[in-house]
Amino acid sequence: MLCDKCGKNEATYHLKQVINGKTTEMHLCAECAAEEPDFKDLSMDSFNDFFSGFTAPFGSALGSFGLLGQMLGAGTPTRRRQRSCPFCGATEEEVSSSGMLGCAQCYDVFGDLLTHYLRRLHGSAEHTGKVPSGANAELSKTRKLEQLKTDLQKAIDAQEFERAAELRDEIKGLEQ
Amino acid sequence: MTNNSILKWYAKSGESAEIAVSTRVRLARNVAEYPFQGYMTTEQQRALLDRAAAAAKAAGLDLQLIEMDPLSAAERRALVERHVISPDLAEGSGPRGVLVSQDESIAVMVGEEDHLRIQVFGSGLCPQALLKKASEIDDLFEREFGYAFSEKLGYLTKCPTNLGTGLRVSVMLHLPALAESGALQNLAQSAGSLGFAVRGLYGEGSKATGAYLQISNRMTLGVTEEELCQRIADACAQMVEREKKTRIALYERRRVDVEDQVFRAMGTLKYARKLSTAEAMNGLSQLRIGASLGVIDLNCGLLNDLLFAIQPASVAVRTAAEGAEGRDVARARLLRDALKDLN
Repeated sequence: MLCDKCGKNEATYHLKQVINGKTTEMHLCAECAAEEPDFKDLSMDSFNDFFSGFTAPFGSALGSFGLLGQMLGAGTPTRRRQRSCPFCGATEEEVSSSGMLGCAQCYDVFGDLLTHYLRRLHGSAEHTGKVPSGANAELSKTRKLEQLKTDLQKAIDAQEFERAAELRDEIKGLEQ
Repeated sequence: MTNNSILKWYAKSGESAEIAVSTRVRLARNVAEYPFQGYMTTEQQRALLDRAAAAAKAAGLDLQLIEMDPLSAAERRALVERHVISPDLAEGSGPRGVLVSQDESIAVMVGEEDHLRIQVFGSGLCPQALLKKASEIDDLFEREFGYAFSEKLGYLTKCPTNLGTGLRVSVMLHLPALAESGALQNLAQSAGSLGFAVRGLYGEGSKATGAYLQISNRMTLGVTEEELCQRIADACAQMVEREKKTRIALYERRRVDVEDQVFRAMGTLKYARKLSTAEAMNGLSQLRIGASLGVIDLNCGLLNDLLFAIQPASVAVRTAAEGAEGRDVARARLLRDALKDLN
């Protein structure tokens, strides 16, 4: 069978993972396996250094957060590394090397990088637990109204009456 | 730190408290309107801290705000030793702090890796009860803040290892009989393959001194909070049972040896003039065994209290002792006083 990654060489390394009842398989050639962290770190569950502890829940199992970087970085075309988050400014480079994100929006911006990593970490990539109650939907509505009213006043002061009319309608809509 | 008369949570005894010493439940939350830690401005950090304190007050939570910057390094370390804050918060930068209840059973860290880390502690094995409490506090903060949340990924955290529920449940276990019978290594391995992280008592590098072990869940996404609590409760209950059986077996086979060890430890702790942290921890571990086997009559709450009180920074802060030797002397005195009525 051919290598999953390059599709050129014969696959000689095989990894089968069963996490939470879900099975994933990977078949790589020698070259691609050398770059793939899953294959390097086959002693993921070794507890020889159990007493020296895991520094974080995934600390020693995944080596370090640099592993995320390796996984994200392997095979990424250079031009994609220029991506950055419009909200917080975090670059793909920063996210890759630290394994951490800059803000909530980063999850949208860099989402494609994370799916595989998340499946490996958590065995599943979908949330099934607690959800925030709708309480803050009310709160953000109040905040939005305040902002609109401020904008309305500014528009009136600047004599932008068309804009003011739009804002007035929006406010009416929200207040209903 | 004032040592007021309110009984701290760890001074009370909970269910199976001799073996499952304590449980901690932690929820990680981030506020949508600010970037995560590391990308926030100082003004934003300040605003977050002030708003969190105000929200706690408005919600009627009896929490005191302790800011990190005004504290000395030793005071911060003492808080770390009592598990009120993490080393991360102690060593961080910018406006940050912790909102603590009087008995220290609730400690909400503000400005650690995630904006809010709601921590609830309890004696013995009690993840479900603590989860309920933490969730209530979470709801109260949610009224003030719009949380960063996605339907697919759940509560959004700085580090993907905490995504989804943002829940970490940790249980501290005392397993000296299993340690002595050499079964601890295997136990750690099976816990690991079940999806738990296992480590020694005081974090990385510690050699499970006194045979204290900390078990926590690794997975946070794709499970419900209740399932996580149930799993860890089940796993710990099994370990508690095994430890109990091993202790009884050990005791029956080597009664004199076990009693000898317990009373030697008692003698040392009651009369020594200098004690290192490790010696004290091992000694207390022996006393705990003795108490659980009924060899001596000692309250687990007191043992828990002492376990924290003997840690280096706690000794330094409480007794104004200086230097390692000064602390060793102060520690010995502390234990002499605490155990003077024991025999």
